[in-house]
Amino acid sequence: MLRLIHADLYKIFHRFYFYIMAASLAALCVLVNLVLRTAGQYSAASFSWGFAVSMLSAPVFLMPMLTDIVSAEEYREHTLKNTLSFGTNRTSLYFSKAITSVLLGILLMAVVLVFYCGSSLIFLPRDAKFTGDLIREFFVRAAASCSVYIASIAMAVFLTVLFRHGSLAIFIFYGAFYLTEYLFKLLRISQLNRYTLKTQIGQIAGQPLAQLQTPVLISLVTMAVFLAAGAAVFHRRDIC
Amino acid sequence: MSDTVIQTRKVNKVYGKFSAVSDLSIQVKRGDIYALVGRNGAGKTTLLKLVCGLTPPTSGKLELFGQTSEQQLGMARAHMGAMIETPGFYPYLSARENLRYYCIQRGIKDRKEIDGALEFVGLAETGRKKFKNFSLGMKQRLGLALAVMNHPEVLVLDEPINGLDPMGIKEFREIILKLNRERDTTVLISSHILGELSQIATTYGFINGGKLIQHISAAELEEKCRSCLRLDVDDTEKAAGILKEKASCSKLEIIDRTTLHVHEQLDRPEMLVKALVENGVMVSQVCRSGISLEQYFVNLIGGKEIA
Repeated sequence: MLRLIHADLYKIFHRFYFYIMAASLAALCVLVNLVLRTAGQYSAASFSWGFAVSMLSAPVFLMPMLTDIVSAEEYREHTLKNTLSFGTNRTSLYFSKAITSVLLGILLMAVVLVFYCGSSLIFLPRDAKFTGDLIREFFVRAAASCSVYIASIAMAVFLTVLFRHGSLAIFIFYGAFYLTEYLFKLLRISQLNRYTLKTQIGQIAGQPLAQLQTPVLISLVTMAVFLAAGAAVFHRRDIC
Repeated sequence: MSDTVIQTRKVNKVYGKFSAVSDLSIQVKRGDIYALVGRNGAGKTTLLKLVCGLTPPTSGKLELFGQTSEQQLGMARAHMGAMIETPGFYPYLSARENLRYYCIQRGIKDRKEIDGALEFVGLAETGRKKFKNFSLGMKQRLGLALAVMNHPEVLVLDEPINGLDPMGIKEFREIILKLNRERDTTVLISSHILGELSQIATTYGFINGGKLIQHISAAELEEKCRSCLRLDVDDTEKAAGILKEKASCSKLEIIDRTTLHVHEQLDRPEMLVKALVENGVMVSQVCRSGISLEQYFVNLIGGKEIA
């Protein structure tokens, strides 16, 4: 499986797409802090870091893009057959794609954290509220939100395998992530909303630190379900 | 070491109500160039996909190098090279980078393998040119380079000469023959260009409607196609009946209302003519005639039946 991941990373680092994605995110992080610098009473590092916590759900948007360059592209370019006809185990291949997406997500997260935190410290004054506790809380919530991101990747990979069409999978991913609560309301099963990924990321951003275990656990269970379902579908899937 | 490298036993592949492959059993022996011949939709590509693990069979058994379990089949496929349908590569990578990707994946550390494969198919000079800018022929060659890169014992090729120019086709044929003769590579190949197949194949499998309708060696096929007696008569139905009854000819082929091919008694045309004339059939011409692989195939699947 390590060879499969290595090969995928080789492929991805040989194209501009990923670098453009990373550079755009880095520029956006710097831009946010530059805008806050001119925002009067909000021009403080503590506000910037608090704002970042409220935006923890935003990276979910990027997850299908990662799976698109790792997994969906294989269907688009008909390259899976080259790998499978060599006798590669399907389950290994499926999990290698998910792990590669997670690794790229970690890399992007590192870029975002470095540029966001770095630019806030450079451009914004460190006010009295900017304490060690606030920094610690920010990183704990950011780490906890990784469970939701990884579950999102598992869901996106599953949808890619299911639909074999990158754009359709991305479209359905956004629909599933953002509209499931309305669907549950419509079906009068609103009580299920507490298990959606959207709810988990909301709780990670808003709940006291001591209560983050539950959303993390639900996210990890969601991840396991989607990974298992995706592997099962991929195992019987016709490849062309 | 097993003499049979690929064997399918009563393999079926069903999509909904459509049966793409039905109770299909083939046997490819080491050193063979096995040509799969069939119409579009006959089941050739599905069979090759089954062999390569791209689609699981609905039922039946697949054996590669004597192995049958899923795990063993995976390991056996590492000794195979395949090119199924159109070649698929990453458009933003060059030929070398694309092959490097698969070298990493397959644990091939020697970069000379890439140079060797590219040189072998005539793509050594493509430099940094991206795959997306390749011509169809170049793409086919890169597909072949990937298939031969790990020195496979078996090559599985599906319509490999599509898109190649005449020179490319000739070079391709030479590559296949070279691999077969020098490296003893077994080849399982499908193509619509029957004339090309007839120049390289050692065994043929004719497929129609997902079923194997005939398995025949090149020597046997050549014998069958080599010659027949062509008789131009006024009534082929009547002539066929007379020849069966009076001249003990059982292998007859009615081409049209006035033409009849006789595959027996080739050295005694005068006896056949005599039998016909004596029984009131007018014979206007008798000559020796051979048929092409294409004609044989047409006759076999959709033309007049060989009696």
